[in-house]
Order: sequence, then structure tokens, then C-alpha cells
Amino acid sequence: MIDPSVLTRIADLELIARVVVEGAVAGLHRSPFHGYSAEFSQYRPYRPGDDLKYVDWKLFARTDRVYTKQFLETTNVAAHIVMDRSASMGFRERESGPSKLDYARVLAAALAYLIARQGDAVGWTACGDERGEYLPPRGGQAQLRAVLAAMARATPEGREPIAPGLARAVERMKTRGMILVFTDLYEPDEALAVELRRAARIGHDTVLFHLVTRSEIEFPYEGDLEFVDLETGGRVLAAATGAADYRRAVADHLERWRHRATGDGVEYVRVITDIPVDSVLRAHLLRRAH
Amino acid sequence: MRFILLHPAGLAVLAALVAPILVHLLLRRRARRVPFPSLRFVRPANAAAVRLRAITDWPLLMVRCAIVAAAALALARPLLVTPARRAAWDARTARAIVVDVTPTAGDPSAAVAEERHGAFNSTIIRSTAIDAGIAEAVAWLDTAPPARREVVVISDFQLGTVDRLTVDCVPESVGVRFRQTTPAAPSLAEPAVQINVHAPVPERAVADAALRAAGQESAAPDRGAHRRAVAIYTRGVRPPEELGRLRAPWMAAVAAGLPNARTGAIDERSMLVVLDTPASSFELPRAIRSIRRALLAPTAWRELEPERLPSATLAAWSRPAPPIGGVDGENADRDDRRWFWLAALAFIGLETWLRRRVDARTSEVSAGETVRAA
Repeated sequence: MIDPSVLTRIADLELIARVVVEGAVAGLHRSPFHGYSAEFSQYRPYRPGDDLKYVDWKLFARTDRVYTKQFLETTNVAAHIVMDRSASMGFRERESGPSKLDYARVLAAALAYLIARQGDAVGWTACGDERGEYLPPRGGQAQLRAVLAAMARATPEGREPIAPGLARAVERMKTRGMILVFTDLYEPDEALAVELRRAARIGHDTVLFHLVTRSEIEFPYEGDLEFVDLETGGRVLAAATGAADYRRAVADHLERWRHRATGDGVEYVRVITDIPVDSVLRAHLLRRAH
Repeated sequence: MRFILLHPAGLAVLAALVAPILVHLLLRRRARRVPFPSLRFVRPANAAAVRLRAITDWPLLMVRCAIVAAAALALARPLLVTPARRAAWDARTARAIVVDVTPTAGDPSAAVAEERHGAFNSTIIRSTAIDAGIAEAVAWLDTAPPARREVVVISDFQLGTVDRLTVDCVPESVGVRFRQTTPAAPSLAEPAVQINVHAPVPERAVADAALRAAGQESAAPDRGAHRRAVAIYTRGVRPPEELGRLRAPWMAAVAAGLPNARTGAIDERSMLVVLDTPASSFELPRAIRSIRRALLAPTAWRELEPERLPSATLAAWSRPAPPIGGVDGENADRDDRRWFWLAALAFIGLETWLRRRVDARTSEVSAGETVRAA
């Protein structure tokens, strides 16, 4: 188990991703992304430099000729990470603890590392402010490093919804692939739900990672507090006596999203940021493996 | 058993009870600011309602109010009148000693010392008028701490110095006692006056003879030995041009006996008498005798045989100091405020403990969140 607060102190996102993945994948019998192999296209004669793993040895045994298998695409699947980096993602429960963005970054990096390790393509879209950042899905270590570097640069700011960024990412996906959305869902529900539904209907394997902190769910505050909205800067004077109403409203919100996402064919993963990242990742991978 | 407040105005401090509540409410106005991802589900509370509902730690508030209340009661000088305390008050006596200081009253010092010795609290009122002294004594006893109260009058008790009416004016709660002193022997000494006669040289022998005849030596006057001096100017001697006006009652008495002379004064102790007759006339010895007679105190003659009140009468007017009875403890010399100050200190300690416990609980909550997150 890796304490989320420890992860935020490690600067090397690739190292974190590797550590998390090694911890999560250990003991799993088969790859959760096993079904994402690309379609076979044709054989061509072997040329020096071709990867030996693509040589069809059975054909060689039969014909005594070395052929290399060719596929429709050079990668198995294109996975695109859509990250909400609005200011609300900067919320952290404790001064020294990780923010929701920190947590999401580690989780996304681990998934990117896992996907890239299988030879799949990884893309990146950062939403939340006007400076949307986009990296089209590509395979290889260089792309992985570029995606991880873009993740490391992401800072929580702005208040733009992620629905437009998600729509753009989906439009640019040339083939069916994976859409991994990391958000705290503090934005107009309908627009994002429409885009998620659209992505799922197109055929993308869409996963919605809903990041919440324990404080957002349990509202453990006492006395009178002035809450300041991280995105809008608005202030509300609230009393602890309103905690029950708050908890009820948040529980409704979480359940509504679970039902809506599930109903739209989107995999909904609620991520509470005080749970170790590798536990979340392992649970997610196990769920996908079955 | 009764509980009284010797200084009820101290209770005004109770108004400060609103202070801890006001402080609490005012502090509530400054709600802790918490950054939060979204206010979408945070229901705003009515600011006024927050302030009014804000008393979250009743025990702490109660203890703080108790501190103020204990301090207010202490300032009000509380007194618990217990039977034991009342018995202690009953066993002591506050005594006002009225001493007659008229010249004939004799020496009261021994009696005064004796009376003071037996009193828990005493005062000495020296007066020439006994009735006024008794009134002053009663007034003093009114302000004395709780005890049996008694007026002791020390005098030779000549007729007229005190009467039944004066005694009746003393409240029932105050005892009255009379101590009769041996009256002082009347003074028969000659009046202390130095008479000088200024006469022409040929008549000086006659003038000295007149002085000697009146018992006065013609030696040079010694102002230090006499309180009064009279200079007589006879015809043929030039008196001072201006005779100052008379400056003392004794001068008026002297002047009254000398209708044919002009009189004046140099200062309060020196008087001038100007005669229009020669020293050899009868006017000079007559003036000298008139001056000496005028300066003899007329009372002195009456005091030679003073009439005194009978001891039986004084005994009948006397009454012992009664028990304190309904005395409610006002003017008590010792109250119970120290216990209330101690209570206030104890409450302060309790308040500190409660406050630290609240702080510790808050810290535990924070630490708990940290542990849970870990």
C-alpha cells in the first residue's frame, strides 16, 4: 500500500507509475487489457530489423519461409486520458496531503504506464481552463514520457467544464479505444453526461474516475464555517447543523452519477483520495479482468 | 442563618455577565474560512441564526459566567450570619467613651484606659458638652462592627451636665454607663496679668506704691511669664498716639470696668489704659483693682462649691449593653468575600481545563483525520 501523501513528494511520475503498477498488477493472472489486440492484416516476408515476436513460427515450420505478421494498426488500442484540472481539483484535506489532482495524476500515470507497457497508445487532454492541452494517442516510450510530463505540468486552475475537452478528444479518436476521464464532477451534469454517453455509444471503452475526498462525503466540520469556492471564489457562511443535509445531497449526487454512467455504458469508478492508489488500481484492474 | 451583602452595589458587576456571551457571539462572527471544491451542496446558513445559535459549549460558557458571578458576589462583600458568628459578636463590646473636658472634671486618664482595655473596639470623644458627646458617640456606634454597644460617660457630673432626656435619646440597643471622677480643685491663683504704670518721674513712687498695694511688684514686666499685660498711662505721660481697638474678650471686660478711661490694644496680650488723672489720685489704685477683678474668671468663684448629680441618679440612668439581638451584620469587620474570590479562582482553573480539553479534542479530530488518511 502506498500512502497517497507519499506519492505527492515523489517528483518522478514515471517512477511512481511503475511502483504503483508493480504493486497493483502483481498476482494478477492475466492482463486486464488482453482483449484489445488489433486485427490481423497480412503476412509479409521477414526483413532484417523486424521484431522477432511478430514472426509466425508455425508458418516457418510448415513452409520453411520466414514471414512477419502485419496488423491493421501498429498499436493494439488507443487510450486517451482526459483530466479535469479545474481549481476544484486542487482541494486537499490536509495541508501536507495530496490534492485530488495529485491523486488523479498518479492514478492516470499508472494506467498510462500500464497501457504503454503493453504497446498500446496513450493520449492526453487537459481540461479545466482555456489553455486546453492535447496530445494525440501514440505508442512508445517517448509518447509515454511526453504524456507523463504533461501530467506533471498540470496545475489546478480555472473553472471551465471538461465536456468540450472530452468532446474534442472523442472526435479526434480515429478508432475505437479507451477514454479515461478523471474529474470531480463539479460542473453542469447534463453536458458531461451527454459527452460520456456519446463516447460510449461510439464504441469507446469509457471509464469515469470520480475523485472525491473523504471530507466532501462526510463533511466532518464543526462550528460555523465560511466556505470559499475554489473555482468561483464565492463564499458561503454555513453551520455544522447543515451537515446532514449536505451529506444527503452529496450521496444523492454520487448515486445519480453512478446510475447515469452505468446506464450509459460508462464504467463509473468512485475514487476516494484517502485510499492508497495501488489499491484503487488493483480493484479496477480486477473488475475489468472478470 | 442569614446571607447578606454588605456592599450590594458590587452586584452591578453582574452586568459583566453579558461579556462572555458577547465575546462568544462576536467571535462567532469570524467563522473559520475553509476552501472547498464546490459550494454546490453547501446550504448557506442565515448569518444571524449562526450567531444566535452559536453557543456550542454550554459548560464552558456556564463556567465563564460563574467566574464573573463569583467575582461580583465577592465585590458585594457577602456575609453568612451563622449562630457561631452571632455568638462571637455577642461576646464583644464596642465602646464609645465620652470624656468631659471641662476644667473641673478632674483627670479621666485612668478611667479611660480602663474602659478602653475591656473593649473590642472603642473611641474617645472629648467634649465640654456631655449631651453633644453622647450624640456623637451614638453616631459612631452606628458605624461600629457588630458587637454589644455601650456609651461610657466619664465626668464629675455637675448639675446640668447631663439629664434624663439625654439618656432617653440613646437607642435601646446601646448601653449607657456613667463613671464619676473626682472633680479638680478650684484654682484660687491670682489672675496672671502684669500691670505697668507709666507716670511722670515725680509720681512714680506713688504709682509703685499703688501697685504694691494691689499685690503687684513694680519690676519690669516679663511678657513670657504672663499671658496678659496692661499698661496704664497717667496724666503727664504721653501715651501712644493711636490706641488700637480691643482684640480680646478679656480686654472688653477690663474696659467695662474703666468707664472714665480710654482703652486700646497693642496685640491680643497687651492692652493700654489711659487715665486723665495724675498717679497720685485715687483713680490709679481704683483702676488697678478694677483690672485685676475683671480678670478673675467669674465661674471660678462658682466652681468653688460645685453641685454634683447623685450617684443613685446616675445608677438609675445607667443600663448595660444589651445583646446584639436583631443586628443583621451590617458594618461587619470581616466578611466572606475571600471564599468567593477562591471560588472565582477555582472557576478560572476549571475554565482553563475545559478550554484545554476542547483544544485537545479539536487536535485529536485533526490527528484522527491524518491517521485515517494514512
